[in-house]
Order: sequence, then structure tokens, then C-alpha cells
Amino acid sequence: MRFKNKAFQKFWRFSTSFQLGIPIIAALMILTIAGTIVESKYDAWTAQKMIYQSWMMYVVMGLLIYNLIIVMVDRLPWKKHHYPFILVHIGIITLIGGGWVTQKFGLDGSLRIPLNKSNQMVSVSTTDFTVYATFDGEKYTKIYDQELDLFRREVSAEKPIKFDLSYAGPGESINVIQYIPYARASQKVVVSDDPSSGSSIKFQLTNAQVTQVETLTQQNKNKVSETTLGLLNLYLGYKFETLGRKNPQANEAYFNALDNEHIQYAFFNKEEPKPYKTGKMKIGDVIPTRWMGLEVRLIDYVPQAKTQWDVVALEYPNALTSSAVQISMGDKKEWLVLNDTVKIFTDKVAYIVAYHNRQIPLDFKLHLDQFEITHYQGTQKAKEYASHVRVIEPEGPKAYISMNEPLKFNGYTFYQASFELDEKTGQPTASVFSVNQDPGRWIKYLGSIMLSLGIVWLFYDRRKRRTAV
Amino acid sequence: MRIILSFLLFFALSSFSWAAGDRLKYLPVQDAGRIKPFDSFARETLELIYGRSEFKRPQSGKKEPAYLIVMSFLLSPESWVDAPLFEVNNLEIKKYLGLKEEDKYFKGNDLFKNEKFGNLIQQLEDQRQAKAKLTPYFQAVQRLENQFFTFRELTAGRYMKILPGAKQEDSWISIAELPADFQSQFVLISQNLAKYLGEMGQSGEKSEATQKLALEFDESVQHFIQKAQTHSSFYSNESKISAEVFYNSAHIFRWAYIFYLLAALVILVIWIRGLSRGMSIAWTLSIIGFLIQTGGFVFRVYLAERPPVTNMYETVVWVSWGTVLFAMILEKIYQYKSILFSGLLVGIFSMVVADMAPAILDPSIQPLEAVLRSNYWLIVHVMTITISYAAFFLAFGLGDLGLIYYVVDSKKYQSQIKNISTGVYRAMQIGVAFLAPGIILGGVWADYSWGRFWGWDPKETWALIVLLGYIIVLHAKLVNWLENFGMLVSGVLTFNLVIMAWYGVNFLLGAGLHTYGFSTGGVQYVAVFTLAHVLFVLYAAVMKKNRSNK
Repeated sequence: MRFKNKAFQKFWRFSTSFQLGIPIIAALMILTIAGTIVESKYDAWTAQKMIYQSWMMYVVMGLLIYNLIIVMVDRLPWKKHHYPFILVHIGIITLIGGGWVTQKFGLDGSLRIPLNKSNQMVSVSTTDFTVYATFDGEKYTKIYDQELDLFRREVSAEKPIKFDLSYAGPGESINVIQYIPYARASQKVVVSDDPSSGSSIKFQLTNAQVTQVETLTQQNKNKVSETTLGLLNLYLGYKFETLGRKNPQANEAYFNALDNEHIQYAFFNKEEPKPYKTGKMKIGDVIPTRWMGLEVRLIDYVPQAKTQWDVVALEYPNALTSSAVQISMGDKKEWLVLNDTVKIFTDKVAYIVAYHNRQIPLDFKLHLDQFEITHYQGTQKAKEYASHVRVIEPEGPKAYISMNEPLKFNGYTFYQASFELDEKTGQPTASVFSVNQDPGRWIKYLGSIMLSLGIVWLFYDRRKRRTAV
Repeated sequence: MRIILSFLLFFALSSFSWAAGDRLKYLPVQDAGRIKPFDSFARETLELIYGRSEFKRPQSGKKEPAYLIVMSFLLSPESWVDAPLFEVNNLEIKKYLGLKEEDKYFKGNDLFKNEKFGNLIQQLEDQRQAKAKLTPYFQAVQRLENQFFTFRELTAGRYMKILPGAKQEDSWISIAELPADFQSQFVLISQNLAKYLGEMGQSGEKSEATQKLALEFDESVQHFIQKAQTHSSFYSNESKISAEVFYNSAHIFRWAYIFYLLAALVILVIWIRGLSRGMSIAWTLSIIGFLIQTGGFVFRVYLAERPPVTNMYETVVWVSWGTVLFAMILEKIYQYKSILFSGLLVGIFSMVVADMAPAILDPSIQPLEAVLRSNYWLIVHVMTITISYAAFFLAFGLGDLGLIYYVVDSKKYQSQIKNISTGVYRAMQIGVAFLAPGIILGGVWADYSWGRFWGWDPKETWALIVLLGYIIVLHAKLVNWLENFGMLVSGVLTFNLVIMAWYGVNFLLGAGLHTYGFSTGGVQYVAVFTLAHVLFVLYAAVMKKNRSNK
């Protein structure tokens, strides 16, 4: 093509030349190489955020499409020997377009279903910040629910992100003051100022063979906290006097808060209606039991307690890290680990604050009836794993989902992604599916076919002509 | 022709030799998720512990087969922990344990009774607890831990499982747990082995007394196998076990590259002598080698019950097969001789590497990860992508050959250089024509089984990077940015991207890029290989410049 305007002609020449094309491909190469290095050092999520979904990538992709189109336009009117080249270029543009449609309008998340339970909420990688408020402690209203992506955003105590709560009091706000992308979090028990909080105890069980330290913390006054150690069940906050024993077939120990210093205890042998020992104890006391010479020592007791995150920032992510934000309200500070909530109180209002992956509801529920794992003979290496699921609410079909055998339903596709095992018994407890809705799929496939045919055609054509150009 | 035929006959006979005293090789063992002959079990165990599948006596230098050595671990573990048996390569570990750095093999007593050994294992355990990626150092510690546990469990009789359980999918019963009647039969095997080995030490391998004891030893093994067969209906597939023992000892791929080597030598002679005939001999030898390699490949398919393209060793064999195939096709069309020659050299090189480095390129047959258990997709996707590497490898070999011409005399060999450059171009085109659809098919598989077409996973991304690299070269050639010399250089240098996609993603990125300096996974060899070629390209460039200045 030729243009009268000299400057434009020059620009056109440049656009259609390899002086633009080759650097674009080279830039794409360098970016993706960087992406794989980032992924190896950090993780896939970081590589996405840092490289593949960055403005650099979008610029390069944009330039690539521009270049691909303009070199085709330049060849107008097309002759027969241009066809394979046009097919390849349109194929690439279609592929990239399909990818864009997927990213923009598709759904890519995960759905975790515990065994014999159902779920309809698909969790996606977008992270949201949600605040609920209550005046009476019963009815909560959602006052904030918005995306919070801090990967490329600086926050600090001086430059916080403010969530205004001035209706509750002048100048009041919840502030996000710190962000840690790779946080190693552990829970600790602290004194709570919320009167509805329950108690927490830390105790040691010792005999000649074992020493075990455990902590039990009630979520609130009315919730029971429990744990199992071998053949012994332990409970905190369960009123056995009024409710009866929880499990009469087991050896049981009940603990209940009594006053600011003492807790009350009761030990039951299995299948005996009455406790063989009751009494009260304070920090430091040691009470012998009748179970294999075990002694219970109370190490710590907090009458009004809550758990709080202790957070350590790591340089690189690993399987145990997740992202965390620190929020402040007035002079209170709390860590909030991804997919967890905290409660914050003022004199009048109580807030629940959540930092979580966005949950997208399906218009039906999936119920997990059964989960199977088969192993390679004589090993623990999984050979195959599969889920038996059923669509409920509204009632739908039953299906079998395994590796390489997804379920397609209502425009969604469910793939077997992974599973969870009980740490103690090794039995499966939940199945995890990746859920996908991809309106760009057919576009990508169309592009793929065009590209593949085009390349073979090009090769065949050149082979006939024996020389390049 | 007659020479070739007698050679083949020799090959066939030597592989089928059936020596006395080797019945034990055929004893079925359940290990790593499949039933294998004791021969394979012993080779893999010895490779883990000692780094090779044969044991070389330190004093006499005599090589002894794995099945006798591993069985003798069970006979006298005390004497083996006092022998230099355990291979340790990592310098840091040697330093930490206070061992001689120049030594390669160590006594179990020096390693595992060392008080610092416990610290090493604890460090490894801490890494695992923290779910941190294992650096090459910790991979080496992990191997040491493996060596320790394997030897301990093996000699305690818990590791080797030789009798089926009640159901087919059950774990087999180990030596230590055998029922009494089987137990006594196994003790008989060990006693006969001790007698046999003792006599061999005294009167030599070939003596009549040794041979007699060898037969007794065989008989006791055979008796155990028969007893197990009546005990269980699903004991093992006998022909498959025999086939695997044959596969282990025949070194099929070694024969293939010997024929390639002969073919390459014939071409070399044709060149040097300027002969006008003789290519038919080179063709015959190449085709025989190719058929042997194909046969070996089919054999492995039969043993593994899947297309063998799931680890580094298998892909190296597959890629070299593809390179020779493409070289033969292009040679048939263009008849330059140099294309077949380069293809053969690449084939020989990669198969020798696969044959020589079992610690890095593990030739054992391992069960597949659950997600890979789809033969259809394995064939379609993995094989198309890796076969494109074969074409790029051919372009690489041709590039090397062409640059040698440049170094020697670019004027005199102008037509050869032009031919080779055309070969590079064609090979790259073949590569791209396979790689692009291969990547797309990978996307289709990923879409089908993980629910996304493209997810920027390092392996798929590097395949794309390779594609982009070769597309740049092909486009640059299209507008004559690259002429003959440029094409040759591109053939060599662009292949580094393939090395990264093929080897680097698994061995460098997988292990954490920031620590590859200490790696034991062959990084140093690959780095030397890459660097040597870069230097060679520079040297050729300098030579070219000097000549054009004259």
C-alpha cells in the first residue's frame, strides 16, 4: 500500500515492517521468560499479578494485534499465495481475542464440598473486603462489600485505606494499614473486651509416656470447644448438668468457666452415668485422672478470651502462607488473614470485618455423595480419584467426576481438582472442584484451528516453491 | 551386506544368553506401584544407593551384577555397611559430615553412625514442615535419607515384597512377614546363594562346582516362584517379567546408536574419499539402527503400558528417534548427505547421554501421576510437542556442522553451506509445524481436564517461548535479515530455548532458580554444553570476519 502523505507513508512502512514485528515478539518472549522466573521464585498467583496481567503485557499484546492486522491490510488486495499467511494471522488474533473474552466474561474458580454436604459458592481469586455492622448483636447489615487488591497499592499507617463509619460516630473509620502478600499466620489467645466472648484454657496432659499441650477456646459464650486425644474427649463450655453427657460411650472430661480464677472440671469414665471426679482448679493446679496415669495441669486460663492472628511476613510464598491485612479502628489493631473474619467493638456498635476471596453463587447446589481414591498397588501414590455428586435445589442429575472426566451442567463445567484428607484417619473429608464457565472457549478453538491449518498450509506452500519469500 | 547380517545375528544371540545362576532375576517383586522382576528392582535399588546398576569391586575392579549384590545385602548387612557402597556427590554434605571431599563412595558406618547425620535429617524435616521448596542441597540430603532408609528396610526384610496379598490391589507381603513355609523356602534361596557365591570366590565362575551350585540356587528360586503361583492366581505375568529382564540386559538402544555410529562413519569415509557410491550402505545401517530403536521403543510401550514420553529419559530417547526420522525424510528429498549425517550425530549424542547418566535421566519405569493417566492425550499432546524438539535438534546439529565448514573454509564449501542452511530452515519449519499445534493440543487437554485453555504454567509458557524464538528466526529469514551464516547460528543458539523448555523447566525452575548453583541434577553438564556452543559460534563468527577482511 502507498500513501501520499510522506510522514504517514513512513509510519505505515514502519508499522508493517519487521522492525516493529520482531521487537514485539522479542518483548513478548522476554516478558514471558520473566513470568516463568517469577513463578518459580514466588508462585503462579504472583506471576499473574506481576507479569501476565500487568500493563506491560497488555501493551505488548495490543501492539502485536496492531502489527498482525496492519501487515494483512498492507497486502491488500490479497492474492492466492497470501491465504495461508492471512489464515495464520487471523488465527492468532482470534486466539488472543478468545482469551480476552474468557478473562472478561468467564468464571474460573473453585468449589469445595465436604463429604455428604453441599455447596453452591464458587470461590474466585479476586479478593473482597466486607464490613457488617450490628447494634443489637443479632441483626447484621452489610455496609461495605468491595474489591480490595493491594498487590500494587501502597498502604501504611500514614496512608491507610479508609472505610468511613461516620454515621456511628464522628471521624470513625476502619482503616487498612498494612498488607503482607506472603504471611505465615498462627493463632494466639488474648483477653477480649467483648462481654459475649467465651473462655479459653491451655492445659497439659502428662503421663510416663506422653506429654501433650492443648488449647481450647470458645468462639463465644454459647459455643462448645472440643478436642479428642486418643480415647479421651475433652470439652470446654458444655453444660453437662443440664444437657446430659455428650457421648456416654466415650471417656470424657468437661471444663467450664467458673469465675475469674477458677474453672470447674468433671471426669467421666465411659458408660458410667456419674463423674468419678469433679472439682475446681486454677492455673498451676495438677489433677490426676484414672486414664493411663494421665495428669491434667492447667497452664493458662482466660475467662473472656478471643483468638487473634500472629503474623510473620515471609519473602517468598509457600504452601502455608496466605495474604493478610492489618486493620485499625481507633487505637485497636487486628490482623486479618485471607478468608477469615474479626469482630471489632465500639460502645454502641459491633462490626464483623472480612477479607476474603469473592464468592459467586451458582443457581443450584452440588452435593457430594461419595469420594473415591485408588492407589497404585502397595503404595500411597494416588492412581485415580473421583467424586460422586448430585445436583440439588433444584433437583438435577447425578454425576461422576474424575480426572479427565468433568461434569458439564447449566453452562458450567466441574473438574476434579484435588481433595482433603483427615489428618488423623487419612480418610477423605472434602473434594475440591475447579468450576469454569468460558464464553470464549469456542473463539479460542476457532482460532486454534485456523492457526494450525495455516501453519501447515504455509509449510506445504513453501515446500512446493522450495525457496522462502 | 554380509558383514551387517552376521553382526545382526551376533546381536540377536548375545542378547538371548541364558546363564546359570540368574533365575533370581525373574523373581516378581512389588515395588513403586507395579510388579517388576527382581532384576529391575535390584538395578534401581543399587542405582539409588551406589549410583550405578553394577557394582565395581574396589580392589579387583571386577563388575558384579545388581541382582547378586542386592541379594547379598540381605545375607550380610554388617559387611556391607563397612564397604564403600553409598554414593555421595554433594560437596556441602561431605564437608558437613567431615568426609573426604574427593571420595565418591562411603561406608554406611561413616555416614549413618555419624552424629551429624541426625542433624541433616532434622534440617530436611524442618524444610518439609515449613513446606519449603527443596533446594538442590536438600534434594541431596533427601537422597541420602533415601539411601539410609532403603538399605535399612531392605536388610530388615521389610522393603522387598515378594508374595501377593489376598486381593490384587493389596500390598504384597514382605520377606519379614512371609508365612512360615514361604519363609523357609526363602531362607533356602539365601543359603544356596551364599554357597554359590562362596564357591565362585574360591574356584571361579566357570568351574564345575560353581555351575552345580548355580543350578541349585536357580532351582530354589524356581521352587519359590512355583509355590507362589499355586498360592495366588494373580501372581504375575510371566512373559512380561521375562520380557523386562531381557529389556534390561539387551541394551536395545545401545545397539541402535552403534548402528547410527557405523552409518555416520560410512558417510564420513564417502566425504573424505570423495566417493560417488556407498550411500546405500549408510542408508542400510541407518535404517537398521532406526528399526532397532523403534523396536526398543515398542518394547517399552509393552512394558509400561503407556507411551513412554513421561520423563526426561523417555523423551530423550523419543526425541532422538524423531531427529533421525526427520533427517532421513529430509535427506531423501534433498540428498545432501549432511542432513542424514547431522541427524545421526544428534541421535548418537542423545542416546549416549541417556545411556550414561542414569542418575539424572532415570531409565526406570515409574507409575504416572493421576492427571497424566490419559494415554490418548499423552500421545497426541506430549508426543507432538517433543517431536518438534526433535526437528529443532536436527536444525541444531546441522547448524553445528555448517559452522565447522565456516571455520575450515567458507569459500571452498560454499555449496555445502548453502545446502546445510536450507536444511536448518526446513528443520525449523517442521519444528514449528509440530510445536504450534502441539501447544494448542496441550491447551485443549488442559481445558478438558483442568478447565482452562491457557494458564501461564511454566512448562506451557516455555513451549510458547520456544515457538516465539523460532518464529522470529523464520520471519527474519523471510525478509533476508538472516543469510546462510545467520541461519546456522540461529539453528545452534535458538536451541538453547528448547533446552530450557525441555530440561530447564523441570530441573532449574522446579528446584528454585535462586539456588541452581549447587545443583547435582546435571546442571553443570548442560551449562558446559550450552557455553561451549556459544563459544563455538563466536569462534566461527571471528573466523568468518577475518576471512572476509582478507
